[in-house]
Amino acid sequence: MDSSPAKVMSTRRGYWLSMTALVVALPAALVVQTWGSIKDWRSQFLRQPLSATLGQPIDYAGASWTVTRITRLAGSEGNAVVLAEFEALAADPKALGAVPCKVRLSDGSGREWQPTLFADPMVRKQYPEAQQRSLCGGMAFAAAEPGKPARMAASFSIPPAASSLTLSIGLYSALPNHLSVSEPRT
Amino acid sequence: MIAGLGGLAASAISFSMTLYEAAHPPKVPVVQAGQQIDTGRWFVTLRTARVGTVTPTGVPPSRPVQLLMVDLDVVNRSATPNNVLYRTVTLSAPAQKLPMPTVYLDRDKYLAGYFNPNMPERLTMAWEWPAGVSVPDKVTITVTGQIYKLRDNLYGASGWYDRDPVATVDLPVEKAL
Amino acid sequence: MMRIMRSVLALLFAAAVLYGMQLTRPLYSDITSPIVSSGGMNKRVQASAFALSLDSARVARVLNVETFGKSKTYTSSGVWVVVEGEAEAKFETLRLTSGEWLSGSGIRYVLTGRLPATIEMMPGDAYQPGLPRRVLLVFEVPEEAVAGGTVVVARTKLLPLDDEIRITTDVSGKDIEPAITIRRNEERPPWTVLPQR
Repeated sequence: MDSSPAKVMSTRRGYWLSMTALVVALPAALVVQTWGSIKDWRSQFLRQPLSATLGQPIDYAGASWTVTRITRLAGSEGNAVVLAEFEALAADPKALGAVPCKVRLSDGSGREWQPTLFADPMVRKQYPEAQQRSLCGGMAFAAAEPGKPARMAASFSIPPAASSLTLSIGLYSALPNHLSVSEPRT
Repeated sequence: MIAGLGGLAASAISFSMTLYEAAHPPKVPVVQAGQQIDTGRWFVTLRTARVGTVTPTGVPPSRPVQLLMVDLDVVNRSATPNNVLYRTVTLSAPAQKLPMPTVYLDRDKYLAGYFNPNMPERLTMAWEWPAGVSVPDKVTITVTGQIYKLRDNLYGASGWYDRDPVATVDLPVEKAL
Repeated sequence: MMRIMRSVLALLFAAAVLYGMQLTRPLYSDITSPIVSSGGMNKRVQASAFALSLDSARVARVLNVETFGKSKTYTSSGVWVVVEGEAEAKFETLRLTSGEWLSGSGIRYVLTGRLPATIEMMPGDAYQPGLPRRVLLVFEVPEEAVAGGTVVVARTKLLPLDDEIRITTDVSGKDIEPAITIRRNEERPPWTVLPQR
């Protein structure tokens, strides 16, 4: 066995070099392995707003979108009801028909509401046409006639005191980009 | 080298054990109807078997069916509610490919949901019998045991696992006149 | 000689440490258990995503359910526990799909599936941020599981490390009413528990 001082030094250096490399390489491998999942996980959130104005068409996810109206009503149970009506003119409605859609309403304090499954009785009474419309997604595009926009609506149940409301519409194919429209100030 | 030989020996032993077990199936005790069977997770008491055309709900089905209905009492002995009875109580003879049985709660004359721990219930399990095949005068029900593992081999999670049958019960089939 | 002794000692030490770790390793259900917030009756208990308060817990031998003028009687080999309270989502719309009765001895009972769907229990509703809503939970438990029981509510049973609220009820197991009626209402709240007290 060669035990000259120089040889011992180089073995030691090799050992420590390997140890340090391990400390770097192991986490790196983990990150590389999970990067895909992290990206998938991040992409399901509405992160990049595309500011739109009420009544103005805007191109998003292969269609021209217009949020036509955001209405606030007094609900039947002491709540407020927000009715959002919007439409999308798609070049290829079939392609959009299979893409899930996410509609949310958020307020200034970071609270977020999902559309209600059934519209409030108030909507049924005052806006029967909007109640006929389907929620954003496949159904709406399937029902649209060629060349005509797909008309959609979402209604939300929120506390009357909620203010600075923003409507977000996101198609899964275009996330994290999403449309963002603010409630008009009255 | 030694590890390799050890592994080889282990697989040889396990293989021959499997062969031995397949050649000598364990004798499953035959239990009388009305006698309580302890499966580990459940107490099961098989009562009677009969043929009918209407489920215990009393609502006649939309198309005519032949139902083999078995009445039984169960008690869930575990600490959590459960409803997977069809793996514990199975129809073993005659060997007939049948869809999964539907379980009815006698108390409500309606579909049974979860069985809560320590709450004895009487139920009816109904198997839909294929049309055109006559139901025999006697059926054999096999009751399978389950054991509780504090840590399973994969995650170290606790759970109940199916084991060998603990009893078979022969039931005469009452036929409607 | 010293060297061998040292190796043997090191080996023994390692074995002891490993054995200790094996003995004290937590169960899988402990590692993935929900994050619990607990409290008592008539208190608003907060979890990170929702809040819950319970104001009534009653026990009865028989449960009658009245929907649209029709009445059905539900018997039990144990007793019925009818719990009412209020739940609220804090930041985003959510559902509370899991409700359990945890007996004093640690046995779990799920919300009964025997009541007709017209009686909307907690899992049937969506909870909107800022809009508290009345909740109804009905359990069927053996008589000995009543005293010291705890109501456990979570968004789902399937998500590990999610929020869970535990509220210890004030039922003693001695005050058992002969019968309770749950009547479905046309307006809010969607049910009434009778006889009123």
